[in-house]
Amino acid sequence: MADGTTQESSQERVPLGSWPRLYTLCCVLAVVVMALLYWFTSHYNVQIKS
Amino acid sequence: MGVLDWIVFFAFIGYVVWDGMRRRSGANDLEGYYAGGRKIPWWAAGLSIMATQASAITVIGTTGQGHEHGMRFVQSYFGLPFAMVLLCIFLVPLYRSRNVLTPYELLEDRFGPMSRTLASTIFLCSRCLALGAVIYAPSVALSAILGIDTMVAVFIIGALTTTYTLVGGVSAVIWTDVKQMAVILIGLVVVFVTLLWELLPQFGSFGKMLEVAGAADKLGALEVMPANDGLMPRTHAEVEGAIGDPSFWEQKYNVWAGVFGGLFLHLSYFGCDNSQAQRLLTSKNASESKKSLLLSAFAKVPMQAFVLLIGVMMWLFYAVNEQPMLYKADHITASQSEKFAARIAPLQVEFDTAHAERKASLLALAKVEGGVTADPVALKRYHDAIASVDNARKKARVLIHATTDAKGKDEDDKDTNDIFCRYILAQMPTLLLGLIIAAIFAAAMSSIDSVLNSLSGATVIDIYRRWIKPDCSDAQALRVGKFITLFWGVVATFTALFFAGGGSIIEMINQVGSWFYGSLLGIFVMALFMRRAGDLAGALGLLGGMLAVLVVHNTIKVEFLWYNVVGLVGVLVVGFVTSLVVKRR
Repeated sequence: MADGTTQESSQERVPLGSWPRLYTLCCVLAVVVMALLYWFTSHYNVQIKS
Repeated sequence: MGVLDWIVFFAFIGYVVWDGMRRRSGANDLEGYYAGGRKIPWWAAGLSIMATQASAITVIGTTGQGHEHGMRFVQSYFGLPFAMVLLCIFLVPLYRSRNVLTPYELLEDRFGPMSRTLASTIFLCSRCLALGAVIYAPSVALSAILGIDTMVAVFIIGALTTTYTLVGGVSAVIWTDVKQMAVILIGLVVVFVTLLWELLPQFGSFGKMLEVAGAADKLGALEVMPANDGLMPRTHAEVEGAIGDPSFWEQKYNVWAGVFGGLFLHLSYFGCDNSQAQRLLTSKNASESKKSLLLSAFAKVPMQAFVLLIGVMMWLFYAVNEQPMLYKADHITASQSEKFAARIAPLQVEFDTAHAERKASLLALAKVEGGVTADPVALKRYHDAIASVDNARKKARVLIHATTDAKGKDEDDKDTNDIFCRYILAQMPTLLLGLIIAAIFAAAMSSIDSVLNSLSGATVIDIYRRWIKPDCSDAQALRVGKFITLFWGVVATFTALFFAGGGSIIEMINQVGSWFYGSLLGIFVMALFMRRAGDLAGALGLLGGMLAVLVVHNTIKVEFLWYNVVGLVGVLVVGFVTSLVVKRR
C-alpha cells in the first residue's frame, strides 16, 4: 500500500501560515455568520403568536 | 417537459454514468476502490463531502422547509463549523496515522474486534435506513414529472447510481460528485434568479420582499431565547394530555440546539460515519484531508441559508400569485376524482377566499409607512389570513388522507417535499426546467453513490475480511466488494419503499441519524481520551449509548438533535464504569 499518509510534508503550504490561525478564522467566521443571521432575524422577522 | 428539457436531462444523466464508469481503471485494487489510491486532491474530496451531504433532500426538502416554516432550520447547522475544526484537530491525525480503509479498523487497534464490529454494524444499519429516504426523495420528483409510479422512479435512480458506483468505486463517486455539486449550485442559483425576476416587479425591491416575508414569520433564522422558561422535560403522557408548558428540550430549532446538538450530530456524521469519513482517507495526507473538511466549514451555513431563502421566496411567490391548494401529485389526482369533487369544492372556495384575503392584506401591509410593525391592525389581518390559508390547505390534506388511507386515519399527510417540484414544473421556462431536474438527480446520485461505496467498504473490510474470510486476497475481496455494492444497492432501493408517505424527509434523515450518531461518536471519543477502556468497555459503551437514546425517546419529549448528546453521554458513562470494573488487556 502507498505510504505517505502519516507524514505531512514540511513543504506543505497551510492556508494563513498555520493550522491554529485557520481554525480560529473558521470559528470567527461562524460566529460572524450567526451574528448576521441574528441581525437579519431581529430586523425583519415578526413572530406570529399562536 | 419539452424536448429541450429532456435533452438536457438525459445528456447530464448519461454523462454522469459514463464519467463514473470510466474511472474503473483506478479501481483495480482495494485501496483504489475504497480510498481512490490516496490520490484525490483536497478540493475534490471537499466538494464530494458537500455533495454527499447536499442530497436531493437539500434541494427538495429544504426549500419545502423554507416555504412552510421559514428559515429556522438553518440553526441546526450552526454546530457544523466547530465540529469540522474539532475533527481536524483530533480525528484526522488519528485516521491518517494508519493506512486504514474504514475508520472502524482503528477501533480494533485501540479496543478490540468486538467494538470495531459493533460500530461498523451500527453504521451499516443506520446508513441503510437513511439511504432508503435519500433514494425516495428524488423519486417523488421523477414520478411527478414523468407521471410514473414513485416506486418505478425509485428503481431507476437506484439502478443507475449502483451501476457506476459498482464499476468505478470511490474515485467514480468523488469525481461525479464534483460535477454534481456544480450542477446543484447552478440549479439553485437559476431558481433564485427566476424567483427574483418574477417577484421584483411585483414588490419593487428586495428589501420590501424581505419585509413582508419577515412579517409572516418566515425569516426567523436565529432564535436566542426559547419561547418559555421550562427546563424540566415533559413525559409523553404530559405532552399528549397538554399538561404543562412545552420545555426547552421540545424546541426543534433554536441556537442552543443548533450549536450544541448540531455540534455532536456533525462531529459524528463527518467523523464517524463511513460515507463521509471515507473521504478523509482518500487524500494523500492529513493536511489535504483537513482542507477538504474545512471547505464545508466555511460554505455550509451560508449555502443552507440560501436554499431556505429560496423556499421563503417560493412562499412569497405563491402569496401574490395563483397557488395550488394541494401539492402532492396523488392528492391532486384524488381531488379531481368524482369521489372527492363534491367534498373538495367547499374547501377550494374556502382556500381561494383565504388566499385572496392574504394577498390583499400582504399588499396593504407592504404599503404601510414606517415598516410592517407600524400598523398592528394590518399586521393582525395579515397573520389571520396566513393562518386561514394554512388551515384550508391542512383540511384538504386531512380529508384526502382520511378517505384514501386504508385505516381511515385522520392524519395530515404533509406535502413539504412536493412544493419545490410543483413550483418548477409550473414556473420554469423550457431548458431551465431540464437543468433543475438534472440538479435534483445530481443531488440524489451524489449522496447515494457515496453511501453505497461506504456500505460496501465497511461490509468487506470490517465484516467479510475480518470474520468470514480473513485470508482472502485483495483481488478476491475486491470482487466481493463489487458484489456487495450491488447487494446494498438492491437493499437500499427496497428500503426506500418504507419511506413512502413520510413527513418532511430532511427531518426524517436527521432523526434516523440521531438515533445512532451520538453512540458512534462516543466510541471514538473513548478511543481518544479513555485510555483504560478495553474492548468490553467499548462494546458495552456503544450499547449503553443506544439504550440511553431508546430510554429517553420512550419516556420524555426531547427533540432529535439532543439524542446525539444523550447517546454520547450514555457511551462515556457506561464505557467509563465498565473500564473501572474490567481492566484493559
